[in-house]
Amino acid sequence: MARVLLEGNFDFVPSTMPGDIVHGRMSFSPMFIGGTISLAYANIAHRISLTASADMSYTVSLGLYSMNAGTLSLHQSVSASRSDATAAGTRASHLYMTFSYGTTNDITPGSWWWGVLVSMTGAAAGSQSIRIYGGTVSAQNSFPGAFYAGAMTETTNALPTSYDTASLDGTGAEALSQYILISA
Amino acid sequence: MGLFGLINAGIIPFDVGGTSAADPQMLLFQNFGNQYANAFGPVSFGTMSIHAVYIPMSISFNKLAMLLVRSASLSGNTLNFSAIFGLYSMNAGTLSLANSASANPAIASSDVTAAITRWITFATSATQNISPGQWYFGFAHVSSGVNWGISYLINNSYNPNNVPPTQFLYGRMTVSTNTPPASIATSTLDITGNDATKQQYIIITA
Repeated sequence: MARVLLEGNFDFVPSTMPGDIVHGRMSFSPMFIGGTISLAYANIAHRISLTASADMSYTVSLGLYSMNAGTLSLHQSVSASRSDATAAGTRASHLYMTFSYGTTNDITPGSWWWGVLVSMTGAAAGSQSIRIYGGTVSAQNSFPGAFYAGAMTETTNALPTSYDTASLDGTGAEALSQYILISA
Repeated sequence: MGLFGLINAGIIPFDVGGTSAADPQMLLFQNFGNQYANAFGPVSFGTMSIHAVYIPMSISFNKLAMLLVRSASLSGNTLNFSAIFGLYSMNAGTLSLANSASANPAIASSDVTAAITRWITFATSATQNISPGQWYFGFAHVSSGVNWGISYLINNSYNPNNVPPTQFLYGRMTVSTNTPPASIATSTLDITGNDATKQQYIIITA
């Protein structure tokens, strides 16, 4: 297959967002990569919201996972952080966050899953929130096929090297795709 | 044709799947991203809707899933219905059935006391390795009498007034059926109107 320069799990920036991200609760979203790509950058689009004037800092970690027999295995990882200062006051901002891999690796075409982990510090609990752009259709029962998407039922401080998809919660809006865009 | 038409025609593949190997296999294929499909369209009984898809890699036709919604206004009734799916190839304007699947969801009355959004799964008649290329998905909701307010997640495309000036892209049967027909002449299909231009969201997993 030909090489591609861009790949995303949406064809355009979506106009919807699932609910507030839970600190340390990781979600996995599928992506089909149609051609070999030299993975240099990843992007998410998100909204931060603060209802009180306070500092806010957060780190987002992205894991690229392959899957075999229902187990996700970490292939690449990257993270990025940003801070909002108190002086900005109460606010809501829609932003891209870009992740740089430093060295590039070829990612082969096929099925991949992205794990997204958000850690927040700063403002008091309940006064800050992050939402990542993505799908919002929320099913009440688990996906009946092999695996589509899901969220952890526990929290973690780091991207797991492997994870059993049977342990993921496949219901609710958190179990649908989050918008991820990668580029060479 | 618009973005949805391009996607559904396979000109813009938007799917999920696969691994790299001599015959790379997808693990998951969706006919369009569910993120586009925040509308739940009503269904027609037994009149199969058919649309073109492009499958970019081989995939094992093992499990098939769709999303349905049921309105709260008719809550409290057990859902009794079935749904049928046909996988078609096309040659010279005639669709030929390559494989089929059916669903007989068991949704208890206790689960429908309010509006629901649920995955339903289809049992495939035979596991088949679907080769990459142009295929056609056919789907029909089959039920007698009341539909109990059932809709399926669909794309939310515009509805042009005239027919698509291309190879067969989408259409709907004008007669009802309880099983996917073995062959269908595309010239007999209704290719205008909302029920032709909007397609149900379908996922295949290996």
